[in-house]
Amino acid sequence: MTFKRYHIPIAPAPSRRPWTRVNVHRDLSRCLNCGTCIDSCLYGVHDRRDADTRFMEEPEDHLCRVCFRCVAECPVNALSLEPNVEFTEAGNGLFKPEVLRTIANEAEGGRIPVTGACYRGPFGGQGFDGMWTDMSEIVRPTRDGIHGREYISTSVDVGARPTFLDFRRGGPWTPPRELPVPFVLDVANPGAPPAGILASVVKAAKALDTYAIVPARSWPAVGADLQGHVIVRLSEGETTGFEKTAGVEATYRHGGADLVGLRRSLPHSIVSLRVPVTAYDRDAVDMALEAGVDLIHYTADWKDVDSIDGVNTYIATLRDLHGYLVDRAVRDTITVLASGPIAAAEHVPKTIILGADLVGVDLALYGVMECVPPNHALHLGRFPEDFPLSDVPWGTQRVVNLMNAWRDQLLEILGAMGMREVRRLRGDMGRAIFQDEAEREAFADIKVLAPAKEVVAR
Amino acid sequence: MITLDKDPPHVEELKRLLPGPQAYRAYISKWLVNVNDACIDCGICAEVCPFGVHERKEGHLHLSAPKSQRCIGEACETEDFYCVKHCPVDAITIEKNPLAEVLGNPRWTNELIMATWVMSETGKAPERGLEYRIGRAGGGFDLLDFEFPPSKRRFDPDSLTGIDTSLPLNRRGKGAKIEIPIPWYGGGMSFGSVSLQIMLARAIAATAWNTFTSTGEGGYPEELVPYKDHVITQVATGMFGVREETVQRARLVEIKYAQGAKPGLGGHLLGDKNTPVVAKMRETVAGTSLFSPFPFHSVYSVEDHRKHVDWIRAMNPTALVSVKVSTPTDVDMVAVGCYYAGVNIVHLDGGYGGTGAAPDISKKNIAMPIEYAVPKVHKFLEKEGIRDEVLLMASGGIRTAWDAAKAIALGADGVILGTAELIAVGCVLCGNCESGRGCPWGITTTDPELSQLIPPEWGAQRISNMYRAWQLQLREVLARLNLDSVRDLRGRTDLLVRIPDPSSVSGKVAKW
Repeated sequence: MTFKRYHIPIAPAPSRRPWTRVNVHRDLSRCLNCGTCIDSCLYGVHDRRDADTRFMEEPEDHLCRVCFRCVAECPVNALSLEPNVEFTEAGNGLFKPEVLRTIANEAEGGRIPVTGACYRGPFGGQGFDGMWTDMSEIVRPTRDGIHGREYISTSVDVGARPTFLDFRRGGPWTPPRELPVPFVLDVANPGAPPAGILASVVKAAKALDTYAIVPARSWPAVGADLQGHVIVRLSEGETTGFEKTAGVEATYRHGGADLVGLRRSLPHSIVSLRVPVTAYDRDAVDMALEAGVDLIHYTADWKDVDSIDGVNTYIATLRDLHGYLVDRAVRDTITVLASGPIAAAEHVPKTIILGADLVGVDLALYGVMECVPPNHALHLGRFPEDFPLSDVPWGTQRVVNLMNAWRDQLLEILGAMGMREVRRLRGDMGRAIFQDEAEREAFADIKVLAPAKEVVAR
Repeated sequence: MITLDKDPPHVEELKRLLPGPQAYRAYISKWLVNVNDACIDCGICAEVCPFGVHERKEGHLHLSAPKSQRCIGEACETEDFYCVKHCPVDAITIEKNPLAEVLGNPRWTNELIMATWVMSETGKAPERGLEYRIGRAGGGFDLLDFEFPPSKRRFDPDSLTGIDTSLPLNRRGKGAKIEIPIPWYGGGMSFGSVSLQIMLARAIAATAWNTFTSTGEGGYPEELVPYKDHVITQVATGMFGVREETVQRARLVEIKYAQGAKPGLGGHLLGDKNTPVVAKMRETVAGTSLFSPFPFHSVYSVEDHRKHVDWIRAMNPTALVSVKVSTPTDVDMVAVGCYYAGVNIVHLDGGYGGTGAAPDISKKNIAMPIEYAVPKVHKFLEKEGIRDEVLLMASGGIRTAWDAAKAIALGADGVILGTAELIAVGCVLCGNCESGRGCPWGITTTDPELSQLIPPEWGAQRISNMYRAWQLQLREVLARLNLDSVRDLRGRTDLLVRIPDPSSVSGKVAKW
């Protein structure tokens, strides 16, 4: 067998509605049409009118990179920059405007976002913001190799990895499926996606060699060649007819879902138990273990993680889930897929450190598909049914690009830590620096001035 | 080859020459003063304003355009000299500048940036209306403050010259004794990431203040040789442009393991900025992206690190050696290892430092901020009983003199500056340093045309003025704490307090 390096095929898929951070305002009553701004701008915001070159064209705001050079050079102070309200008001909760813009950039080119100057955000915060990953000063593999000569594995396994011979299942043992990336795409959260989105995401799952989770209602629309990359999220009733899919997913309810029956009817498929954060309890984990399912899909709806408290709960619950599995000494017999508040590349390693094996990408797809205001997927919590996406290759490429950008950034983080595979990162909390712990240690002897406020409650 | 107007070192002059010039016609100010057409040029505003916003040039009929950057805005409304009140034809309006809203971010707020510009223009802290001490990042330095003992004395910054701000760079028994008069020096910025003009400006300013600046890992341009006593040669993982003679001519050699903005990743120079001149200096092919390796291929343990220090000493026995490391959880062990390898300075570069180019993910997420690393290392070195033999320098997010004082109170001996110096020469923190022609202001660029925007002497003056303002502020802090020397401030966490998050108090949420 020849070795084939995993490679994600990226290609440009330009945004159709590029984010505009600022409005460049030209005061026509002052402008001399002198053209100084054309020379001073490095990014092509200013130009003369094609029809009549005596006059200046309206500035192309979306090209502006907020350097203020034209403002400063203008001899008559005719130019100014104003925050673009459509941008600053876009998104909410986890999906801050900058996060949406980053997603769009990543989906556009598939590359790691690189900028100059220092970090520009808040110091720390709650949720994922209160976490830093560790690094090592003297490590292998080397940085010059991580995107080239040397190989850091981002493969993860879905399914049980038995630690000893186990005859309880009665049939031949199905080895875990190896996914080359720790990402699963999820468009079943909630409702059924519009046709264009469904086709794009399922095709992207095939291109990435991973899975897409689709709702049962959308399942008939999936082509035969793509069925092997689909996990069907069941709603009420359906239990049969999914032999050709990669697997099925039942949603956890107290006393509900005949997992054992499902497992028995599909012995060689992936059987997943979807556990929303709001429904999580340890009974769900017990039920999953009892039935011998392959995957616990721990997830959150949009509204669950819209507030920072929601994200904190999400994180605490994920830690509980992982901790419970470790305590029961069954961690390797089941895979944990975490989805929901995964809005940026940095959330991938952090979620894995907190105990997930792999992450599900769901809400970020709104940004990828530009289903943001005025289409407002972020407010609906799902793709609107009439969302227009006819260019499926474009949509597929956007998803593929995003996943490549996120994988490459995961490689950067792993490389900085000196790790060679992402499997070993799972639940390795020692690889993270938590703000509350670090602050307690560093500032222990510094008096807190009233009004006392817990700086971080995670 | 850049030729300066005057021969170096014309430094004494530089240190005195004030105020420094402002570069551009338009100035991004907090307030915007508008005078409309109703103005009758009576000149009353010019007479009342003590800040020089309004001015009639000698012999001019009309008043000059108002200098908005000098206006104190809202704070003026209750004053007798409020120009709006005095204008007989109501021609003057003062409003918040919408531009200021676009400038800055929670870490480097627009006011901190504008205040740094004021300092580099006037050589002292802004008098009123601009917050120049603290940002709004909601953590770290921004939630720390000094608790000053109550005092009725008013401190005139100029009368505090007796307060010692000097720092010895070598605490060991052997080796050269070097003392710098201010507890900071310039951090590494390579030729390629910044222009030669900026390197020269920093070197001239460092020479004027008898402190240091660093070459970064892009080689040692010949133009810097006249300032060699104040230029640190950096030896980093890419070894770009490191030669025997560059190590031999330095009084201080810095071994860079990692950089705070991209810990564990190594240097980053995108192909666009790798012009033929830069490529020649780095002995590489022009136009290719240069990613420095990480880590040093010759170092696989802390013990191996000693070998590096010995190499430097073999080439240059009198040089002091500094080691620049990032801030992982085991940074305390790294620091001790560095000490036993024989280094003089341990330089911690925290996660929020500047860079010419780095993946965004690494700027926030890898390794801890300097505020946590400094006390950790300081305490550990004390426990090991070696704290007074090694100098601990902090960098990575030192924005103001107050940050510097807080870092010292947390346990550092001094600080190392990067971004602040660039803001002094006109950086607006737009973050477009990495690609294309580079910085639109001619700072982090290798474009021969753009780099002309910063004349080295002008830049040096601005940086020097900022140093002066910082020294005054540091002295004021020390005086108010009843300390005679900055050396006494080290590790005095008892003088610090943690303050509640101002953004949660005033209801203002830091905008990203």
